Amino acid sequence: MNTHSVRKMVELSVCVLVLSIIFGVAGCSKKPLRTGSPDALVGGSSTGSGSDHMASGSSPAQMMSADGTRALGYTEALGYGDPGSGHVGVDGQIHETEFEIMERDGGGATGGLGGTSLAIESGRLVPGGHGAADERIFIHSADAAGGVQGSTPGMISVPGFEENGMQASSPHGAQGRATNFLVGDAERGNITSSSLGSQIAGSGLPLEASGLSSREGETIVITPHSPSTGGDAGVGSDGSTGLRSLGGTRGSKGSKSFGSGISGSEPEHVSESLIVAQAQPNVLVRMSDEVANAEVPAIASAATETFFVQAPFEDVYFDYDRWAIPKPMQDRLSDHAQWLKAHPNAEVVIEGHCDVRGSREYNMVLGEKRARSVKSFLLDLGVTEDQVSLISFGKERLTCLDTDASCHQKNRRAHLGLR
Amino acid sequence: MDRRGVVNGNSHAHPKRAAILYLLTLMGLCLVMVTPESRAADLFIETSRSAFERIPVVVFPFQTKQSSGSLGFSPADVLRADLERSQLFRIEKVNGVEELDGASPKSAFIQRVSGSGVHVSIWGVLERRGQEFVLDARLYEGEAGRKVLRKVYTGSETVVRAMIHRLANMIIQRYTGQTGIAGTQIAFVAEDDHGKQLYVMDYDGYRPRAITKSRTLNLFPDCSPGKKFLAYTSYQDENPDIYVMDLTSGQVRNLVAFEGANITPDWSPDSNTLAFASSFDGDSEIYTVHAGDGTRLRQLTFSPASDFSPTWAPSGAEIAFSSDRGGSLQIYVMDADGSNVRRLTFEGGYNTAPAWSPDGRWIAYTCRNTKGVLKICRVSPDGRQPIQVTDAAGDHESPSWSPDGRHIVFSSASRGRSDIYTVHYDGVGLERLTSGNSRASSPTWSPWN
Repeated sequence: MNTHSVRKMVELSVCVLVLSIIFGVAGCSKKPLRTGSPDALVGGSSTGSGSDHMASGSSPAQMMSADGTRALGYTEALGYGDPGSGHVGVDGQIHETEFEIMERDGGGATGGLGGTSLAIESGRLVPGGHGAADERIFIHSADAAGGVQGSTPGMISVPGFEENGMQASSPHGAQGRATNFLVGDAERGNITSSSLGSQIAGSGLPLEASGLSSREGETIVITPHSPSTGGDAGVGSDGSTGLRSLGGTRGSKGSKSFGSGISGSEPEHVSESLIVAQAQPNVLVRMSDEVANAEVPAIASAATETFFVQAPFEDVYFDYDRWAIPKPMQDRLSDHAQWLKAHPNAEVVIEGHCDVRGSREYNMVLGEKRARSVKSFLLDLGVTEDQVSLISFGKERLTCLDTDASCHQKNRRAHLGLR
Repeated sequence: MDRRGVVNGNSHAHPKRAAILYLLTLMGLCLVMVTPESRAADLFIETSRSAFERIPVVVFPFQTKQSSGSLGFSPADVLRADLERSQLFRIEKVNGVEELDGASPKSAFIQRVSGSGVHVSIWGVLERRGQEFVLDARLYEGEAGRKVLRKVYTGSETVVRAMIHRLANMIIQRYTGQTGIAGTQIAFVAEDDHGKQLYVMDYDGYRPRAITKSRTLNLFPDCSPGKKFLAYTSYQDENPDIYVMDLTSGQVRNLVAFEGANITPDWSPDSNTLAFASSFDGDSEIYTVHAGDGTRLRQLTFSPASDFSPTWAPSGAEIAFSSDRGGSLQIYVMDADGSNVRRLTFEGGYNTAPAWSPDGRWIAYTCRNTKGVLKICRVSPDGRQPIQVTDAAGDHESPSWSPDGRHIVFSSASRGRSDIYTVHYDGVGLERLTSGNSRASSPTWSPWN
């Protein structure tokens, strides 16, 4: 167990231990402990497919509980896998049975394009040009009268022949026409002629054992998906994941406080608000601008002791496909640097964002460059490195979905948020 | 299967088939030279390559018994779409066929249909028996309309579409020697109220299902060659890190978690190594790690510019990637150890997100046209024949190849919407797979198995 995890264990409750086991084993622990989600409550977009959501709780604790790690416990909708891939995660089994319509050598066997390519010679099978080479093919000469009737429980289903095509294509006429049973098992690959024979015999059909020949099998088996497998163990309950994502660490940081109260900047420029309500220890609610302004009074009055810190951060905007801080933005960023120096306990996350143009992958890189450029600007002005971390969101969190120039400009931003 | 082998192997025994296969081979060669054309369309529309003579097929309406009709789709339509989508068959419309309405086609009628130049006709019965569905399909071919094959598929309700896809693949295999892609899946990213989740859907856009449920962003999925794992970038630990989901168990493990953006994972063809881009060193570079445990970190690029979006050649010997080291964003190729870097694209000022086709013949990528709009292009791995594949409206990006190397899936965005589309690699058969407001993106096509 690495130091990363040890820190978590000290700071967080037992449930977090479970998570740190999961995450701690990653082995790549050079990054600082990252906690807290800038947009945990209202993050992402509001549009959605509407399918398969977890129920959203109404209290902050419940809402937090669904964060991040919840994915670990989720396997219900796993449906990934080709029929026949053999993996759990597919839906069910398909049994496949092929009835080859037989034609004798030289009896008009060409049959047109891709015609049947099997023929019987001296009771042996001559494989033709189609089908997998590893098919197991059982040849069975059955009386024509009833055809093959009934089904075999759990293995193959053999509905009866009932219509004209069979008759027309059979060179044998009504007497003893030959029918191929192409049965096998791609997964187990070991169905024997005798087992087939017994199955067919079990269905009351006449069987001529000497006529059996075989190649590898072709029944396709799809392993059924078990919807409840995996996942839940070790993830913890909803409550524990909630504590993990915003509990202990956050709470203690909140109780340290930045101490300066509302900074007095213009309300519309309030970028991030922190609220710590003592009534709900260990729960720190972080809200975005819009929600913060609307909800703060209610939550604040409900708490016995509340303090409220605002940082005067404004987004920094960039030119198209550029990451250098434009001149008009440098003054703004200098103010932010002064504020951070005045509040040495405050930690800030710089989010780099891009407009919708350009590829998704490139914009992840570009967003990172923008965040780095803001970080180095702040460090140059004396902000300590410990106070600043960064994250790129590329074009994954657009604030504006239109395609006009002003919308693009709004999206090309670095957003500073308190951690 | 090698098509040439098929031709050689059967030409003497089956003159008719040999002739057709010869035609197919010829047409396959022509594909390379055909100028791509595409039709902007929201729905699958019939398009055909001028040089390609498809195999004419009639699919009779299937008989559906005992409430199998409540499945909500027509089995014959699913089969027709599969065959049409393969670009190898042409669904013939013959008078009187639809009027059968599922009834068993009479011998004389099949003969009449076959006599009109149709090589293959297909009819089937879909029946519910308790919890099981039975699909009983028959093939008739030749001018006489002889019944040549009967196949019965049995499975639960959830695999009925898969059963039809299997039937389609069997037909494709039988008449072209190619392995069909019906029944493959596409993983992609879609938004919900909480973040961006990974989804998987059938290759025809049906049955989308979420495989993550989180309040965070999950991006850039890539399916392992064995189809056992999905690698992707997730913000679940407050940083874009790379995770691997075991698709068998649903277990997720963190593989790469450097500080900075860890993005665009790509599995090596042997599934042992994962290439990805990380910016922990200050600028984005290409690295590889052992896919099993994240060890054996190896840095492949050392440019002060941004290198990202690696894609392995199917041979495992080379990796193509995207870089702006030359002043504009272009595709480069290097040996898998990072040596021998050479620039692949020279046309246009913005080429990125390369995807090497499973057959090794092409590298698809996101290109920007003269109007500044993103489209899908492809180029031969030797840098020749760069060509724009898609031309419909919207920004097209994130191409990924079907396992047969003949189809490309990508996302197309315009005015706040984003959907997943597929297109034949020569630009025909454009088809939208997703709809709604979930802004689907970053598709990746599953391998066969």
